[in-house]
Amino acid sequence: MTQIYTQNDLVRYVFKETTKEEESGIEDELLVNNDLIDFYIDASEVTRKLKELDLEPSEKTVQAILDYSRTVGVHS
Amino acid sequence: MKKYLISDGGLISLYIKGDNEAFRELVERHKNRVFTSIYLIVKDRARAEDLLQETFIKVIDTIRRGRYNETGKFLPWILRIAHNMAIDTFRKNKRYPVVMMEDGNNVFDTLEFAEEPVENKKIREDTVEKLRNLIQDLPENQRKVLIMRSYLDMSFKEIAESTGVSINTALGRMRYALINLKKKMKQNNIVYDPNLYPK
Repeated sequence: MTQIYTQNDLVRYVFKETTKEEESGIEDELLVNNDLIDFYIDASEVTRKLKELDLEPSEKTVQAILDYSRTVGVHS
Repeated sequence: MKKYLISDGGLISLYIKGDNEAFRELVERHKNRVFTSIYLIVKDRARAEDLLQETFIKVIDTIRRGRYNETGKFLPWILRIAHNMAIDTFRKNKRYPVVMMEDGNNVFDTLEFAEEPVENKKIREDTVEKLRNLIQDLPENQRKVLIMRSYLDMSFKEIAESTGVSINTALGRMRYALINLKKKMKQNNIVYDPNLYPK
């Protein structure tokens, strides 16, 4: 029986939560299904963009963390 | 051996044995990711800074007490700690505070970026600001799934269990989040330009 892949399956594919078998099936489906390929392109673009939202804390906060890591008696 | 080549677990083992530089490497490696995930929940920079500190303090204390699970993965663990703290804070402060500086600028404007050409830096800052706003404007259910998957590294199964819905519902919410974000990105002219992000 041929597996039918939905946009929800594609979401799992974009976030790498599919099995190898599903991956292969979805990739075959993407070659022939225009709705799926359109969604895949949009979803990929958005997730790439989301990865770029990379905010940096202040040096002061980082230093406070490092100071604490040195002053607390961790070491056995 | 160069610290950046060592796994997170390896760095923690070194830290336990007395290597403070190993912990520094761990902080440098993950601070942005943890900070970003906190910030997207609490929407206030000063609070996010405090929570980042509290998160790492909890990490250090857990390691100190010998309660760190060495078979687990460090990043999902610290992200979960950060998320729980951020959610608790968000619930206590249900307003959306906007912290303004004396000159009238939002503190978000003070974010520092690595050295890069001025034009690229400005474009990148504008894009980050716009993208942040678009995420905040999503319906809560969609925003939650988006943050949990994209920034807290939770699987859809974990998201479903955490939010009390089926995996299909969680996937559907992510699907709509992506569709809505794409629509808004197009309206706001936010496009992916690999030249601006040389990672």
